[in-house]
Order: sequence, then C-alpha cells, then structure tokens
Amino acid sequence: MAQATLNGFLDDDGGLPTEAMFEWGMTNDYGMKTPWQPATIGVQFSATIMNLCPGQAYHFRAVGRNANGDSYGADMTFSTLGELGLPTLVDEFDILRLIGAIE
Amino acid sequence: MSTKTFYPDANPEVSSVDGHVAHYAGAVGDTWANIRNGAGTHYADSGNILHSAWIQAANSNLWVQIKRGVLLFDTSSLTAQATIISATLSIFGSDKDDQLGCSPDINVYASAPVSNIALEAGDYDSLGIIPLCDIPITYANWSITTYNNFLLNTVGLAAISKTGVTKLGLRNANYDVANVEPTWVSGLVSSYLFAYQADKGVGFKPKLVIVYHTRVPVVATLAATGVT
Repeated sequence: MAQATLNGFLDDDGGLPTEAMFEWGMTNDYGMKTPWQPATIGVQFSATIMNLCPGQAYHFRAVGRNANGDSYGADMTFSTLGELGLPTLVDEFDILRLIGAIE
Repeated sequence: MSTKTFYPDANPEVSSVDGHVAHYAGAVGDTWANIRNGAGTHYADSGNILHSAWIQAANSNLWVQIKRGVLLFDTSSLTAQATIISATLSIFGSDKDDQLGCSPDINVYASAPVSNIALEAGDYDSLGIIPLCDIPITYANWSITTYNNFLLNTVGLAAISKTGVTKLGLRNANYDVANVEPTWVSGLVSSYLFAYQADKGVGFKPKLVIVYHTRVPVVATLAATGVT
C-alpha cells in the first residue's frame, strides 16, 4: 500500500492555542481529513496517510484553527508510486475477492 | 478589522457608571494641597452634566473644591482574543468657563472606583496621574458644541479591559494632575470644563470607540514526504 506524510507549518497562531490538520483527496475537493493535532508557532506539523492507491495523484492542504476560526494553506499535490489502476492486495479478503471466492 | 462603540450606562446603571467626584471644602476653603490630595467628600453619578474638571477658589488664597470625572465602559464583549489597534474616548462638552484665567486643560487617566455601577466620595483619589492620551485638550480647544476626542496612547490601550469593565477618568492636567496651584485671583470663582454624561442620551453621551481585530492562524502547506 502506498502512503505519504503530509507536512505543514504554523506561521502565526493568532495569539491563541491552535490546532492543525490536513484535508486530502484525489481532487481539490479533498473529502478526507487527518485528526486535529496541537500546533506550535514556528514548528512543522505532519500526518501520515496510508492505504493510498498506487500511481495516483492526490491533493492536500494544511488547515489551522483557533478560537477565532479556521484558515487554510495552499493546495499541493503528490503522486504515489506504482502503476495507476493495478489493484493493491492488502489482505486475504482482497485475494479472495480477486479470485471470486467471495462477493 | 472591527469597530465597537461602548457607552457608560445611564441611571440606573447595569454594568458601568459615569459621573464625577469631588473634594469640597465649603466656601471657607482649604489649602491647595488638602483640596488636591485629600479624600473625596462628594460625588454624583446621575444627571446630565459631568463635572469633568473643576477648580474653584475660596477666599484668601484658599480653594473650595476640585472635581474629577469618572467614566466606565463595559468592554467585555471584545473578548480575550481581540487585539486592540486604536481607541478614542469622545466626550461631548456642555460648558466651560475660566474665571481664574488659568486656561485649564483636560486629559484622560485611569480610575478605580469601588463599584462599577455607582460612585462614592472615596473614589476621588482613585484617579491616576499617568496620561492615557498624549495630547491634553486645551481650554481653548474644548468644544461645547460637539465631541472632544482623546486618542488613547499605548498606556491607554493597555488600560482597556477585553474581558471586563474599562475604567477611565478625566482630570485637569496642568494644575490638578501636575500639582501646580493656580494663581488665586478672587474668591468663589471657578475654572471648569464640563461635559454631558450618559443620562443626556443618544448623541451626547460619552463613548469609547475601539478598533480591533481577532486573528485566525496562518498555516502553510509544505511538500509531502515519504511518498511510496
């Protein structure tokens, strides 16, 4: 399975306790979110996402929030390794599905 | 940026009072030092007129009274998250006179009345001497037809409570605060700068206009790493 570590940086916390996370997905509509984590001004924050499709481009952006509201970093992309379209076997149930043993 | 305008409460007060306090020695008078430094004897927190700075002479180089203004504003709605950019205290002048010929000016100082919703005589000596505005308003410039504006300095901005009541005061700067006894010219004459207080109503009541902002975080997205 493909995976990636998403990175962000907190430039300004607005003077308040701040949390950060990432929105990610196959388009810039994202659709997926990493858990909120405490963020410190001037310090990088990261989250690893797994079970990605190989050979697939992904969009993501950093998100910060404090008591005054949310803010968003710029959209960025990365592409996982491998060939797009090949199924990824993760466990015995995937294998069974491939051979038609189960629905 | 956002702007909020705050007013003291008219009588009966709910959260923030305005009015004046005095050390009054009667027509016989007392020394300047006793008038200025003595405990308060009188107060008024209802009515339309704020005796914001008043020096009155008695006979024989003595003084009848000094009065000072007290102005409270419930600024708690700013919240702790606000960053204050600027603030202006605006006072609508109602009257002025300078029978002493001393050209009294007026400025803003901190106050610390015992109660937020009522004055008492003892509040007279709760006013500070550190100006919260860099430029006092001169007697000549004190308007009695419009608002007089005090732009608060950094000390003044720091005196604003973002979670409670902001407590300001008005004093004559060049005699009362400076502790300079005016030249006595005659008995029972006065120099004063008066204003309207909250009971006068919309268009006249004291106001504190605060410009502020609240900040959301600023985040940057960095390149992904460890991509497989």
